[in-house]
Amino acid sequence: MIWRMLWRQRKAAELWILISALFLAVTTVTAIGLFAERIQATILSEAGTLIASDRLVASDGPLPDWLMEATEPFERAEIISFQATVFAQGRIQLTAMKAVSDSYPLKGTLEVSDRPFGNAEVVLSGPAPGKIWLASRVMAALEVTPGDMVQVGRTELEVEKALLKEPDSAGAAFGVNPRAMMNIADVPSTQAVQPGSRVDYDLLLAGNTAELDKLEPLVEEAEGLRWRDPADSSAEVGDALGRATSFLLLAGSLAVMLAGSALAVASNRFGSRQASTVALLKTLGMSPKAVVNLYVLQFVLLATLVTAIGVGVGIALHGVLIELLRGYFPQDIEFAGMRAIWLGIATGALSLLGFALPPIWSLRNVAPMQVLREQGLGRSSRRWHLVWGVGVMLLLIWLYSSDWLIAAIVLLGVAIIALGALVLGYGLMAIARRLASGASQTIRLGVATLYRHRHINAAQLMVFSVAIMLLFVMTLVRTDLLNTWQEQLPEDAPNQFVYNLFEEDLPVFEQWQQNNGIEPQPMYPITRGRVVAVGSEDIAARLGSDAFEGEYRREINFTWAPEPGTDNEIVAGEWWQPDDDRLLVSIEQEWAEGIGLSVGEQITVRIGGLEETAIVSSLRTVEWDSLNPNFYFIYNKPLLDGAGATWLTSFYLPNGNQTALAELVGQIPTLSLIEVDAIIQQVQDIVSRVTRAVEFVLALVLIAGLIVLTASVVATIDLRLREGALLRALGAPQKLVKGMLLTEFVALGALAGLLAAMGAEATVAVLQTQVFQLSLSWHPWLWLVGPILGGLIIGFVGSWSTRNVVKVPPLWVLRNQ
Amino acid sequence: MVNSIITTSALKHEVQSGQETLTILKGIDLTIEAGTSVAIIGASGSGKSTLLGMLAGLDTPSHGSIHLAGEDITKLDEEGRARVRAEKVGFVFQNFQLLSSLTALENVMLPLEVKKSTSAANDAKSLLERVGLGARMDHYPVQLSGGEQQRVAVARAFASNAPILFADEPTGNLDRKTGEKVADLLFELNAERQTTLILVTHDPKLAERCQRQLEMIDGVLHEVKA
Repeated sequence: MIWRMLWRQRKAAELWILISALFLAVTTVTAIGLFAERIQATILSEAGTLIASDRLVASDGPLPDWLMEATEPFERAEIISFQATVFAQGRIQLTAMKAVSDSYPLKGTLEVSDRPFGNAEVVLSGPAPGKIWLASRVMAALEVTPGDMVQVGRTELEVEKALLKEPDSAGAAFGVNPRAMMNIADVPSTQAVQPGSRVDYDLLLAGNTAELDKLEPLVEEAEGLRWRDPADSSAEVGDALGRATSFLLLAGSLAVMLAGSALAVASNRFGSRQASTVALLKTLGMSPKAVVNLYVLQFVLLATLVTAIGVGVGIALHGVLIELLRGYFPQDIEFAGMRAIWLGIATGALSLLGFALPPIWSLRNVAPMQVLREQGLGRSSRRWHLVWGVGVMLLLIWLYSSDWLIAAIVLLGVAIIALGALVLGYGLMAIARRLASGASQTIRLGVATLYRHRHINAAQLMVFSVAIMLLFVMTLVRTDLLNTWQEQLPEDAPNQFVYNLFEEDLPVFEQWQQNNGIEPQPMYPITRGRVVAVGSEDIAARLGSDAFEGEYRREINFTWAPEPGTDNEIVAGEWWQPDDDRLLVSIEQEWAEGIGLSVGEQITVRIGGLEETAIVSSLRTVEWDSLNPNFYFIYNKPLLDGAGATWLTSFYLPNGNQTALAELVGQIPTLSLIEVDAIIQQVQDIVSRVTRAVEFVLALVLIAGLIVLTASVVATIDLRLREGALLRALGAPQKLVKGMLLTEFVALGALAGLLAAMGAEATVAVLQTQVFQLSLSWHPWLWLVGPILGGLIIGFVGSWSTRNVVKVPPLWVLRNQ
Repeated sequence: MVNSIITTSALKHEVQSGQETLTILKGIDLTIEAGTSVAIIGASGSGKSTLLGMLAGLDTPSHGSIHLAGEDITKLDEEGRARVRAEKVGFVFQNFQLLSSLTALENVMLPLEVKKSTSAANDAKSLLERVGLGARMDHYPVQLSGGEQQRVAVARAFASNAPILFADEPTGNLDRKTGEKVADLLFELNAERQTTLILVTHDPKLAERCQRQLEMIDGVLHEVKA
């Protein structure tokens, strides 16, 4: 019976609308879910190149045996980092030596060249034993070229390449000397690594990240070991990733919501269309239970089938998306796993439960008497349909994003706008009717129709507003995100850092800047030292439980300056007066919190065996990702009268002006240079990929939104067909009927656009501040664009969907219903 | 009471319309004997259709009782009334009420399938042949004329072999000639199958063909011809 009923209804239009809506829901969610997760996995893996691996264990001493055993199943590489002095032809350069094993890097590539500052050549592994690669400026300083021999500790190595870029350079921004890279096998022969010397050991790991993360607790527990993953490898990239992930989740949630709305609209229409059939079945003696069974079983059968096909098509569609983006994304996009597919299946099942079942359930209450006398479905049941639908939607979004905050914010926005749409809708339609009393006949009739259908229209207005609002939210958030990323990386931001400039080098440096037309930036003096005590307490006694000891034990750069850094913000205490005689210090907030330091306390630092004690006068926040020179400690006067201080500054050098750099390094051989360009390039690469993914997902959501709008218009087509036919039967010309429909839809669209603008503005404001950590911004243009766009879209979709109203012979319509 | 198939006593029905309470049926006592044909005539809005709905168990009255084939259907719930309808009652409606997504044959099979009959297709086919639509079984309602649609509906009404047949203005939507043909068919089948026919109509000629005529005036039933 069930199959037969289903089969016989194959020609029923409402069944196909329902099938399409369910299919749309499942397909969209599966495709976006798979796509978003794969992109996310890819971005993460891309970010993995920032630590040249998936996960990294940093160690103070040689890597313990248990760790080596535990990591046996994974891909591994080792790095030993230490300060090394490199000698050549009587010249000396202190370098940050990185000795790497043959498998380094596990993720990402190295760029080298045959000459200093030369053209990049991509290679997949580090130097062979017996060879050494030097940063361009080291080669310039030592006046060596490939083929020359240099001395490192007790051994001699052959200079092979100029090292231009390593994947894992982003983290090593400050406090390092220019890079040199050698093979780890040569480390013992240098005898440079002795007990007591400062050496870092890193173990790089790659493989199944879920399996890898099981090691995290073991590593974190062990003394002297630290666990790192790509997301925390760089604050900047970490932030960008976090926001991108939130955006993709938001987009997915909205897709779920839009697809759910389409299904709800279609189901309601299906339900009311079926009412007369049910009434007839009941007069034929079918019991209410049998009616519900019949429809529920039909639906379950259908849903199973449609979900299966939808998931299949979703997988195929996401394949197409990936294929389309082949050029933009790396070849080997990570597979996302089964989660998204289950999500598609859950969407099918839950959507059915949440949106399709309530109208079906109501069918049991259809009075058989209805065959004799037409009467509508009871309205009272609609309220619990809504509550039920919202509950299921919340569950779906949560399943989708695992993030209650996003789900709650978006849903709250939708709920408020839906309610507002109902209330305002009735009011505005009444006003429009009054306003139209003086207008032309077409407009008057259109608005009158609008008013006559106010119940249906208020409901439709709700759907339109919500759909348009969600689209606005997506677009605004995307634009804000992109702007923020762009702002973070201004075009002419300083891209070079110099330090180790001595007092006597300054005139040479300034002259060089002038010759090359480089705009001078603030100069910061630096003295390196360690923090030893707070008040009378040893620093160790002050370490909080979650403070990383190394942060407080290592050498820190101290500076002194009359003003705080441009991006700094004083959060406690006050910046000093210029005439204060005491030695005062302003400290970075997070560093201070790690040892529970507050304003007014005394802090003692040791510099080359001498101690200086200062009063903490303020705490500052610092934007480390701004790529401005920034310091934990800023004093109000020179420490030890400035003895032994070196200078640091940054500047912007247009790309490709590498000869100027070579010239500078030639003039001041002892200076150290960091090419921030490489770091910025890396960050921008990732950001631009994230951006593309974000835009693509947005397009998908837009399409889903348009489908909802169309479904909603189509849902009222019977009514409009009948009215159009009636008007034409009464002699109204086609033009009048067309104009009337257009007026109705444009007015409805404009109202929806206005409401959507309000809702979007509010929702975006909350999202900006609560989820994306962006600064709050308003979009006044939206209030104009919203109604116009709404009127255009709905006007178009509406007139297109109802184009047959004026073509169908009036008699045909009037006879069939 | 000899062989009565429908009995009502003190049947009253009220509906709420805004603030007002409208009394549609004002105490109806009616006995209908098995195998007879009864016409209920009356002006629009006099309560004919409401009474028909009550007698058929499509709705429940505010007061009073209805016995249908020995069962008090006012004491049954919707499940119980559905069972009674499936077994005892057939319908013909003014606007045919065929499901547009089903063929003529499938429409006639519907009541048999509700009763889970195993010979639904064969029974339905022979009935359609009986009403002269043997050649049009696979046509959809939109492909049939009004008269043909109503003949399908008549076939459907007799398909379940129910002892009681209710007809609500069966010829109301048809022209005179077509209407007469459908009426002929209805009375022929009624005689053949010994069913009880209860007919609501405006048409005096149609009412005239029934053995008994009742007129509904403002919620009260009057015997016109016994």
